[in-house]
Amino acid sequence: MASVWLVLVLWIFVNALIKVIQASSCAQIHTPASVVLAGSPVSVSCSIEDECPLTKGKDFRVAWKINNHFAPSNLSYQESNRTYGLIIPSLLDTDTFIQCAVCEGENCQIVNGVQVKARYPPPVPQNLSCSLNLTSKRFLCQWDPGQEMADLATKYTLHIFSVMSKKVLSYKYVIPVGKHFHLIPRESYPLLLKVEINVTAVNVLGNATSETLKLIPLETAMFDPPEINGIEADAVGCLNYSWSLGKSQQWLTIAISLELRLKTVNNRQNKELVVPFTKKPRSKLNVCDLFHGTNYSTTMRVKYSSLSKWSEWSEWSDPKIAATVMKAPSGSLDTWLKVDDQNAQLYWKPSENFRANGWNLFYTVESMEPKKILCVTQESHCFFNLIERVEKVYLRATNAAASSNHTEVPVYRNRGLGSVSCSSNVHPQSETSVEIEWGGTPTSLSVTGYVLEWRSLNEMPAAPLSFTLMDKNISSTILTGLRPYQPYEVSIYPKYDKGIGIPCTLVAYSIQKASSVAPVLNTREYSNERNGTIRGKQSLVVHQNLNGIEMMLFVIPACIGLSLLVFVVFACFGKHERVKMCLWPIIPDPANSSIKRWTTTDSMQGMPPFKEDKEPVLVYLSHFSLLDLDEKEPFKSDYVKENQWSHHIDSCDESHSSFQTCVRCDSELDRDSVPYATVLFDGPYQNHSSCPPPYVRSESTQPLLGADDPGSPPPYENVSPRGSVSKVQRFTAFPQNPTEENEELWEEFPMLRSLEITDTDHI
Amino acid sequence: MCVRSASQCYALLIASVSHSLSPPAAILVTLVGIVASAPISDKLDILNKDTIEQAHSLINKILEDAPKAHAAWINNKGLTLGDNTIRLQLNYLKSVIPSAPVLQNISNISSMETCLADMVKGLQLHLNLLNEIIKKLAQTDQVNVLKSEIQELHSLIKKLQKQAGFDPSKHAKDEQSQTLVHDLHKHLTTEFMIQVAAHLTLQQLQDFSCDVLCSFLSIRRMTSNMSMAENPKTVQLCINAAGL
Repeated sequence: MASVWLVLVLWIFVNALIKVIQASSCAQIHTPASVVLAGSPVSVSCSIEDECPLTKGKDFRVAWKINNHFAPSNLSYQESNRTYGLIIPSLLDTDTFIQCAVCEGENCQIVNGVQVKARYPPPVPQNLSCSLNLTSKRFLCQWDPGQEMADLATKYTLHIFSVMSKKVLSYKYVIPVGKHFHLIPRESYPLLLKVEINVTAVNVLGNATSETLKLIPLETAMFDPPEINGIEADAVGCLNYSWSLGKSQQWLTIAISLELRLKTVNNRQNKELVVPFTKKPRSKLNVCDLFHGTNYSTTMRVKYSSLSKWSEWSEWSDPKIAATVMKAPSGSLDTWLKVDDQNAQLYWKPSENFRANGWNLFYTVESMEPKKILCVTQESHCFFNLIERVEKVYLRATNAAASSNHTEVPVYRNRGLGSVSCSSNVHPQSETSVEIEWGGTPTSLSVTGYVLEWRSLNEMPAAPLSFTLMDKNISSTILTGLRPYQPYEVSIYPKYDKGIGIPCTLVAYSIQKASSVAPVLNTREYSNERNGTIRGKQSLVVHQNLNGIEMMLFVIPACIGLSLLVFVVFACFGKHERVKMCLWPIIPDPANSSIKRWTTTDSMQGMPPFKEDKEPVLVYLSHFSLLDLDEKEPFKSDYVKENQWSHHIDSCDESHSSFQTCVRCDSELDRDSVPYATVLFDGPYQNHSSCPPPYVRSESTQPLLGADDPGSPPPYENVSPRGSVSKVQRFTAFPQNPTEENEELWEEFPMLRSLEITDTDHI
Repeated sequence: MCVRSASQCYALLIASVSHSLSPPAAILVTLVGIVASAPISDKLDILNKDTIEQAHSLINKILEDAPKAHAAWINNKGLTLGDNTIRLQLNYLKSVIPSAPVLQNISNISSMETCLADMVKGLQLHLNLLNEIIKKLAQTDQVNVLKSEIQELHSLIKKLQKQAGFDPSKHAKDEQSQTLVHDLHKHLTTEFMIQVAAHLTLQQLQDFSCDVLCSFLSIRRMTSNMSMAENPKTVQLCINAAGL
């Protein structure tokens, strides 16, 4: 029952669909191909249906639109009664929309249309390559498809041809869409026979075939690294190798290309050489022209053929080390012998052609007359004693196998020969090299060559000496291997037939920079922190480019001369008074001075005029105290009430000019002043007692109190308040009748003269 | 098995793996050399040495790959390749598959021509047998590889025949072996028989390949300017297979 209903529903649907289609179609449009080759002609036909309402009973015409533009009328034609055609001579647009329209007058209605694409045949597949994986036995071929057209399907097919047993075996493989490689199955290719492989690309518009590869599949394979099974050294210094291919390729018996790479191990003359071969597996390989007594590390690699552009080298094999046989050292040694009395220093180094040919190399220095071994060392120098009659020494090198021939070293003791011109120039070349130039020697002597020696001056202990021998025609050379900012002592010795000449020595830096420390004024030439040649120093005299030595040699004599000149000048003109006053003003000796003398003009002679440019600063050197004995308080001998009085008497009134001394006892100002005297009054000081106050000298060390007795005055004495005053050794400041005694006292206390009290004076 | 002059053949094999020839082997080689007279050397000299090397390489490859194919194809511990006890015990069932040609010593041009023709025949036989058995026992990649190598060696020997100027069509087709191969399917009725047939085919292929190897070693020795370059692995395999 359900199936019946289903059929009924389907029948109704299909009928309705047909009717819909019939109602909408007014014309059928047809074109032979919706995709055409670009540039080719395109024809389209439009058949108007009889029942088309746009045409029934109407005068109509058919028009064509191409990409929304009406096509020229010359492109369209009427094929039959109701069939109309359009021919586009050459379609170039990639996508062209062609529409058929029924027009009544100017009113056109599109009734059908078609899209025609102009495309190209597929591009030729490029860069076809194949490679064989010996492990997986996969033979992979891949190519570059080029610019593909996304909306045009392109089919790729790989073809492989081989000729086996007179039969052409041909296989083709259709490549899945979107892939551009293929793994050719094992049964489709031989290992050692030639095959031909290509790829074709096909689309609706045509096909294209790649370049055909002609190759032997095995030649595209990358072999496993080979193995060096053994190395033998023969007597002539060659190494013989036995080797084999990797395990999975040991079935091969054909000759293949291989390379041996040899590197010296722990050898001064580092050498690497690569030797190519074409050999069958398990054959012997022979490499010669190697250094004797030298360890070589050997690796090898293989490929099918060096002539094949498809072959790839394998990885390098594991290295194997073997040594060539030793023989006696060969070649020559450069030597440099320096003799000073009986002390000889011999330096040597291998020349270009020297070969150690072995290991454990050591050197022997010996003399023949007398026969004596002077030195045996592994170093490159030797110091020994040399007696006068030895004219030659002999140097030979010995390794574990044998000794070399002797190198004869003449002993030159003649030193008084010509010298190299010291106009040497030093030209830094790089951070580690410097060019040294030197001048010629006197023409009367024929130079046979030069020896250049150099040594770093900064190394402790002293660095070994390096040297090089040069031809007589050379006047410059470049030293390399120097350390930057380090001084090197370089000496150039001329060599003559009969001996060595006097060298020229200089200091060279490969590169300089500012000194690390301030210069030290001494005559030492070399300082570790100089970092270069000091070319200028700020000094009293020198403001030009002088080196340290030249500057010191100029400054010292100049200073000495100047000092002598000054001395002479003063000696001649020193007695002139004005010179005296300018240079050394007369300062009175306080120990031999007195105030009296100061008051005379004589004592002012020799003193520079005093210019009172500013107010004098009062300095209170000493003070004297006024003491009233009428105080209720008992007199204390050791206490002078200076403060009591001082605070009240603090004015220096100019009206009281007799008071020439202003007694101020300001505790702050009088702190440093020295007590001069104490004046005792038996009544208030203001009362002008007729009894002259006694004066008691204070303990004082006043230096101005007279030269006769410059020492301290007698110690302070207590004086009784009454009646005893007269007993006190006193003096009066106010002599009623100036007597000679009073004059003497004033002389003793000159400053107290200012305390002269008269009736008219009020304190 | 290399029935013909087995001692000579295997003397060559033994000599090829040692670094220097042992005195007995040296004598045998000399004998071979004497017998191989001037005319055959002319034939051998015109052979392309690269072709000889390629063929020699492939026979080595077949000998290396046969055990791998056997291990991957036949899952039967009672059938071990190269086991001489099993070889003897299967003598009765051996008639199920046609025998391989027996290779002659190469002593003159005629024997050389016959030997090459028999190599071709034998290789084709084993190729046909494998193709027949594959219909019943699905091949593995290793069997596929082996077949390709047999096909390639077959092609190289035919190339040598052409280089030597031999006419391959002179030798009549071995119709008997063709019939037997065709009739093999009658015996492949049980899984056991299929496996036995596969084992016997590979065992015979291995033995035949050892004989081919012997022949190539002798060709190399007789060909001037061809140094010996032997794979010790395959030679040892053949010596073991011969029970030496």
